Amino acid sequence: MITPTSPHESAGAFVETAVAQHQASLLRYAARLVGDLDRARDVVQDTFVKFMAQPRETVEGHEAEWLFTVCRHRAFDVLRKEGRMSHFADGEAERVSSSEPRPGLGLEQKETQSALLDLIHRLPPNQQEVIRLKFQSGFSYKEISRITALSVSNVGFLIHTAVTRLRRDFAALPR
Amino acid sequence: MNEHDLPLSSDDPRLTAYAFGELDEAERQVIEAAVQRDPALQAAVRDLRALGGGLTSALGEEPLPTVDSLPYSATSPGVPPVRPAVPDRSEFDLPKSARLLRFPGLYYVLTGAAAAGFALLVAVRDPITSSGNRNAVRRYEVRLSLPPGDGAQAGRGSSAASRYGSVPRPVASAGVDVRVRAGDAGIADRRDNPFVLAAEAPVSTFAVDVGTEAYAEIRRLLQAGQTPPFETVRIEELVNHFPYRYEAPARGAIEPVAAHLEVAAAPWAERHRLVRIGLQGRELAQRSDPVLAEDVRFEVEFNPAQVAGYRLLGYEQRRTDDQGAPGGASTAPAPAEAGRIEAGYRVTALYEIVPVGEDTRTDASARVDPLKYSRPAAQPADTARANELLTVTVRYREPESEASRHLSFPLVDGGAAFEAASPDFQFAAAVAGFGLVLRDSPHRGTASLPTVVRWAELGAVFDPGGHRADFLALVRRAETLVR
Repeated sequence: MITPTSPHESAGAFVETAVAQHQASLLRYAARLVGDLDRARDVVQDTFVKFMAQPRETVEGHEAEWLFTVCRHRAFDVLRKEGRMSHFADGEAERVSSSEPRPGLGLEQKETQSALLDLIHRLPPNQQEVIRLKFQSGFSYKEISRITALSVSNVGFLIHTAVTRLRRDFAALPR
Repeated sequence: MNEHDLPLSSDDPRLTAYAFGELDEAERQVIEAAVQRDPALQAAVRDLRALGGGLTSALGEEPLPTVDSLPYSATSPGVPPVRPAVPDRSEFDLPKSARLLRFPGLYYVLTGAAAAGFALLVAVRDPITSSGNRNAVRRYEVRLSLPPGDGAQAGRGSSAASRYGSVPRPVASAGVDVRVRAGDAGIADRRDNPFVLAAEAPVSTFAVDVGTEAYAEIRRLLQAGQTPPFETVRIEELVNHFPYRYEAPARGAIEPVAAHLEVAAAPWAERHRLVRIGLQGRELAQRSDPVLAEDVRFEVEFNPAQVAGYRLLGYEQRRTDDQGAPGGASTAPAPAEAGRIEAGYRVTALYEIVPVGEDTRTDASARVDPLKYSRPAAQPADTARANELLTVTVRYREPESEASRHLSFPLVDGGAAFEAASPDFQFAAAVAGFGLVLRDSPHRGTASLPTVVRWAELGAVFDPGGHRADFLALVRRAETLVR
């Protein structure tokens, strides 16, 4: 019988732990990149399939970084394959609703959150991505640098630019 | 002047990095000294940290996208040009090339017939190195291609694979490889592919291109409280809706696809065997990666020494138009259409097999009607192949090349029980079983919605994308609607 066996099948607990720990955040990350949940599921599954094929010692200790890196590339593969990389030009998303007035006066916790999310969604995509990797997934600049193949100072610049703009826009919200 | 005395702009990325604890120790001390001298910088750091906390809590509550919102575009900076160096393993270490020699004239030597347009292809293959004990003999495979319309007995466009037969065969029998006898005239056999005698029609084909829309459609119907009509339940589309863990050929390998074959007991008919054929294309190597393979055809040759009859699950609608009247003259189905394989291609096909020794006549669900002038089961030409259940052959042409190539993947049945099969196999079988139930197939055997749930649960142990949990929920939904 010819079946694939992986080095991890004997160490299933290692893989199960990784799935349990990172599945949700990978799904969230992939869904933001590819734009829908169905494709994101495929991307995440493919990512774990590759993970299982890795010798444990090559990924242990930096599972999250490895998974996000592979997930990111898989997501871009999907986008390229479907020719969806050029749906809209960079920055177009910013124009869509940037002049929309903010409702409410004093923002409650929940309103603060949703206002911040709105502002994040208006950032250019590369800034959105590093902001999510930093504040949603908890990666350091160095880890983000390895995941995105950007230099550490480039990551730092993107995050700095993004938070500067978020501070400015947030302060400008009517209270 | 000492660097420590330089004023720091509040718009310096290092200040942001400092606020988020991202500086190494030496740089942190430099920035900290500057911040301590300047109350405005201290306020900026407080603001940044407050914003960071706000971002963490806001993003922690961020919903998953529900609409097709694409953050990335072709002009975005940060779109990676290349993939990471993630090593892939290839299940099959195939010979790097199969040399194909064309001898158009040899045909006349062999048969003495004058058939225009006939070509005899001799493929000289290096031994398959993954199967250790069979690598002593260099193999010669002869493939006969018949011109269209070549007499009553010629299979239309079918290639006469000869792995388990005598080589070369006379033309009279070479063309009879693909022949399906329509089963009983009952309506059931018009709805579902019948079992086919391996001794009479050892070669089966299945389509390269498979849609996956049927799953979304039956999910929509079931969730709306309706029972899907059987013609919407296309088993091959249901099975292929789901991803499976098939490894791609190694990066840089010349083979466009890797095969993942598995056989175990058919869960709905325990004396039958179920074969899973998984084919996985190479991954995209770079942005401009060309198409992997053209004119691709999948062929499965069954070994009559092991296989009494077989049945392809699904693919019915692609075949009906070409199928002859039930009980009428035997008509060869057209071979499945050739297709293209692109990066990331993946397909799964399932065959149910009645092993030799099972009485195909008394098993109503697997009635295999022999042809009137049936020949005895062919003896495999090579005893080393006698144990093989079947061979999957992928025929293709590389893009921008005229030479056709093929890869062959033999499968030996190790006698596995269904419970011992891989989760992917179990899950694919469960999905097919769901299709059999929804179609009310005459071949459904013991398949029922509760058994489908049981099989799918076995296969759902590895479900990182959540697809399989979604399927289980759908089957349970169906249980409230379908008997």
